[in-house]
Amino acid sequence: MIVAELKEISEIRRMIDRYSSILVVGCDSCVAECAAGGRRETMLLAAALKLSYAKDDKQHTITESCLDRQCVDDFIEGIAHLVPEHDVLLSLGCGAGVQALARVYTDKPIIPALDTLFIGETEMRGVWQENCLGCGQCKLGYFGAVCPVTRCSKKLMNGPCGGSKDGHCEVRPDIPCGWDMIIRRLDTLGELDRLNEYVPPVDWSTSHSGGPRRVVREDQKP
Amino acid sequence: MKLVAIPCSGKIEAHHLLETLAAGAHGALVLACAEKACQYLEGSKRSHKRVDYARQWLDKLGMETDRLEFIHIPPTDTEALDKLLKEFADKLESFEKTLPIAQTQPT
Repeated sequence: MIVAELKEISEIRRMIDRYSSILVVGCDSCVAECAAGGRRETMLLAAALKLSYAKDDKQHTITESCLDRQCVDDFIEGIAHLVPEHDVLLSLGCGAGVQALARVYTDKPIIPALDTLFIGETEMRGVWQENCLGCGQCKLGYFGAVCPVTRCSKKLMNGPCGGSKDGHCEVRPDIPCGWDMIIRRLDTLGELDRLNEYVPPVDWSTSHSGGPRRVVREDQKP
Repeated sequence: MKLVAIPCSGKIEAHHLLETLAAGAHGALVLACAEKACQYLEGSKRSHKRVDYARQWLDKLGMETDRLEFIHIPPTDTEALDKLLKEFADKLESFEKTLPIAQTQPT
């Protein structure tokens, strides 16, 4: 899932103050799971903005709506009846959702209310941990499903650096050593032999520095 | 003072509290069962955390955090309850009045 956090209200206000009618649009997928932009958070932010503007004696119309998913057109069209009445859409979606709204509603400014942070998992209620960088060359099978790219602070692919202490990373002691986790897990599974295979460094030229990535599946097209 | 009865204080979310203020209420008081007496085990505990979270929002907005209050209802002490309610009402009177805000239709 994508993990995000709500921006400071002051930053949100700076971006939307120029508009008199604001549609707050939430997303009930990933950002609902991380309690940043789901149904509850949408209603909370809308109420907070109403209070904020009332306190400043400003007249703004605030409406809220929440989509099941903000990155798919079929869902985005669900607010089509509301959009014309508003000057701006304040999106509680991740970066993908914000841009998808902009692609569909081309004549409306779309302002992000969240900072999109990482791909991760819910470790426990209230705690979300990054565990995937989307390198596009997944080798998790060699590492007992513990990713050395995200969980090792140095992104080492072929063994620990030797600097960890009691299973904690030397870069920052509150980070568990990724390689300690990998080795323990492979040992539990009886698959330490996986580490005998050399895994080359990740080729990042195909990812973040090579322009936006795209997947096309002809069999999935209408 | 308007009384809203709900099956468990655990049903209260932070947005309910802010929406109540945004609709023109001067404050909101959540009355919950005693922590160890919650029929749903964690309801009042969760509710307390949510009230605290909503108060943090009021702080961010530059509003009086005491507009939101959470108390466990004393089980048999109606006098104490009466006193708490009066104190809360008096406290709200001392705050600058919240401007009534037109409530938009939820969608």
